[in-house]
Amino acid sequence: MLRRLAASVLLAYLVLTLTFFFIHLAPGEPSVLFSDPRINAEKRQEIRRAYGLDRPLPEQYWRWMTSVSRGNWGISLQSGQPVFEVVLPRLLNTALLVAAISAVEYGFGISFGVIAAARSGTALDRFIRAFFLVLYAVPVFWLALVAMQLFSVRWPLFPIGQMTSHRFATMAPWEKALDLAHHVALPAITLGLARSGAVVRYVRNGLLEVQGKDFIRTAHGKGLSTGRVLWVHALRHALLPLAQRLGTSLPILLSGSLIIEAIFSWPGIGYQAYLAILQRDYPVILASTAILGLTVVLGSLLADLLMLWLDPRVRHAAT
Amino acid sequence: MHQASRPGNPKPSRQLGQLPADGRSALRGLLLLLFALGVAACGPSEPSQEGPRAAEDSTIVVAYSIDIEGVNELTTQPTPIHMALQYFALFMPLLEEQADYQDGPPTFAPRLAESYEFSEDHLKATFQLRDDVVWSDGVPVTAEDVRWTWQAQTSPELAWNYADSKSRIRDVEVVDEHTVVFHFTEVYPSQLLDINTGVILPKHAWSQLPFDQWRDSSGWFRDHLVTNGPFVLESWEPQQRFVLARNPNYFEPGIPKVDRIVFEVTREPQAQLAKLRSQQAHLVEFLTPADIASVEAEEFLRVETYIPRFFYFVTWNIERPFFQDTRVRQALTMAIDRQAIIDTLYYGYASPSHSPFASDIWAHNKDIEPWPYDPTRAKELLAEAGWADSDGDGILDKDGQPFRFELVTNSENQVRRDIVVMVQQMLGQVGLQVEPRLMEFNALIGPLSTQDFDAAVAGLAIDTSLNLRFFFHTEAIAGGYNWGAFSNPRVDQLILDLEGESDTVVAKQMFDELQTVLHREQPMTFLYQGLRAGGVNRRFVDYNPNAINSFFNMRYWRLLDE
Repeated sequence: MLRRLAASVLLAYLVLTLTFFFIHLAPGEPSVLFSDPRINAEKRQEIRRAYGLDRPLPEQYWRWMTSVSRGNWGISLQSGQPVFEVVLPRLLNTALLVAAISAVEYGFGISFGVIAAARSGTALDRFIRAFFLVLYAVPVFWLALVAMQLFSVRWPLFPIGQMTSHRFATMAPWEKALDLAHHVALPAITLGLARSGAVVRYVRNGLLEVQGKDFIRTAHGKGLSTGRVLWVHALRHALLPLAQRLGTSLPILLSGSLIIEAIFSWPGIGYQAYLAILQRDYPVILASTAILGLTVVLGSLLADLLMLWLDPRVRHAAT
Repeated sequence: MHQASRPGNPKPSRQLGQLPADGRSALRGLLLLLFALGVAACGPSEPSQEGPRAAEDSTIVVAYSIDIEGVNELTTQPTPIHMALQYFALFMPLLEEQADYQDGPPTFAPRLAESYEFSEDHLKATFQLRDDVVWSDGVPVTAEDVRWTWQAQTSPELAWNYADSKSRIRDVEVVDEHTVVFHFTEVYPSQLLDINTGVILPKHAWSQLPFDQWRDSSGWFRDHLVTNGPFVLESWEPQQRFVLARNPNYFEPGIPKVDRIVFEVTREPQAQLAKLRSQQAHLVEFLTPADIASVEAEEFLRVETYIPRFFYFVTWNIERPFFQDTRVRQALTMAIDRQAIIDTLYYGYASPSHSPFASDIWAHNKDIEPWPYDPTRAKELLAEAGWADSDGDGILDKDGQPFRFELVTNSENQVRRDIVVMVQQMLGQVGLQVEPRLMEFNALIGPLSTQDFDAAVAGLAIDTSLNLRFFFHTEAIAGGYNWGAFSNPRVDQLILDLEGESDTVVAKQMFDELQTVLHREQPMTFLYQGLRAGGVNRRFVDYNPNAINSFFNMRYWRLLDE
């Protein structure tokens, strides 16, 4: 495990180094340099000098690495704020959104997967599969806009965008929790439902696969109820592939929540990274890349730990 | 002594109306929305806590597409929202430029200064400051603030974008607590404009930080923010919202007229529109043309329009042999059906243009007749320039060289992408082969600045000074915005002469001639001037946007009771 962790850290370092050089070699310059026609060539050079962008690339790389090794990720060229003051709050916001999305995705996916397996071959099974397949196939931005039109404009149940109300700071703790839940609900339900189609299929197929297995027959033979056999014994087996999926989908969710963040004005890291790329805000791009790299490592680790917990074969092999 | 005129009261809004009662039952929605799982019930029963229903404390909500990046004008990009924040909300300049640019150069009304006077030789300008203005922490605003602000603006460590506007100010002298003198190195027409560029900053609060640390210390300024404008920054949640609240120490009694203005960062135009229609926002400052009609149709909304100072064009790179002949450039303009572009992409909310100046600006030459859409005449002009389809492949050629070129634009802009496709089709009808190319905006700037392109669809904004040096002067080819490498000695001379011309009548004649030359030479095909339309809730009155800034008069904004 430790060796794998070390390899992952090395991989993250390589990704960062490559990102550094690629983003600096990409055409274009930080938008702070050309956003105003009154900035002449001389002024641009002054601004480059102020940010150290006039130095040779290897020197910039060395200075950046030295700085990072001291825990200083630099200053955002766009906002003038320390990079981690820009990126970390966004990461936490996205983590909250991802947690809510995952809760919906797995909550709905597992529940309807079990129902579909229990009613396998019936009209209900077919309806569930078709319904979730359609949701899975529909583009997320379209689904989000439709959800917004229906549940915020037509029936004003949810706020359109933002994480909190503007009076959030003056609310009591319980009001804050409700306010946050109210704001996260629509984006989480939208993206969570869209993604749950895959979970439904995983669970349904997993359950059908174990139906005739010895341990299921044994459970039935011991007189356990059908529900207990299904929800406790069979489901645990069916969840194994999902554990892998959860780990590997974490970085995809983190970076892929960009569209939802944009539509629902959620101040997350996906949209922040996208903006930074457009603006060539190098320090923010690099910090975002580092964080996303770290989530790949953590996601993989999480998947392994879940497998250890869920699968006795893996646990025995590990011991 | 010049006593600038006081700004008039903003004109009242046209039609006022009450919001319709929301008869759409939330219960009906709940029944349909089983998957809401009760989460919605956790929230407020009204559409939004920050919407018009919460108007008893007079809060206006604006759904706006971008966030602010900081609170210090000298270290942030001069985007419209930053300019609004600096000039009309948090701080004040010495004078306030008025939106009376239709008949002559804009005038200035008193703001922080109550009067000013130039010396006989025009090398000194003495400003008398108001004696009743204090910072939000109670400290008086004095001449020392004015002098120190000038020192910050001209600090090389800071490299302020607009520092050039101060380059001919030799010194700023403090005479007494409320009198300050600007000393110039020379006399020129825009002396007043240069003095007035930039807001006055708080010396007592911000001078503790050395200038060389300013660019890296955005958060420090926020932590040490004191203001002298009508608002204070009550809160700022990056990429979420910033909230302006009434400044209790502001000197004008009864101003501002609302308690709060909340700017909610809302990137997606469809989300902005949804907020407006669900009454979660009172204002969407920029509606896409496709949405204007639907907003006008809503009983509780209205549309406010103005002509912004943008000009949109196809620039031809004159360094390329194709575009060196004036007749070819004229032919290209006549082959592009600009009205069709306007009707298709702008739904009629634009008009064809022939000048970089919008039609409501005093310097605009109204006597020029725009080139008509005339593909037949375009073909004749191309033939006169030696272009003919000699090999019968449908593409014009000359000396064995087919008239084939790339038309580039920035990929993020859907309207420009559509324009590229339409222009490709229109020029194809006169025998030119256009190859569309899309590039990310940031990546596009490099090729444009180094003339490494054939032709480009783009747009630029022009500021109050109406100085075309950055766009059409030969010097602006290298590093400026003269991307098409247009060079004309008469244009260069007129631009320079205009910078030294104080007489408005003479300046108007020179502007007219300049536009006539540009019209004849067609360094670019001016496409259209678009109307900027904002969607406004009818309860929100006295929103009077103009080309200076959409939020020009936010201290006069009002919200009627439900």
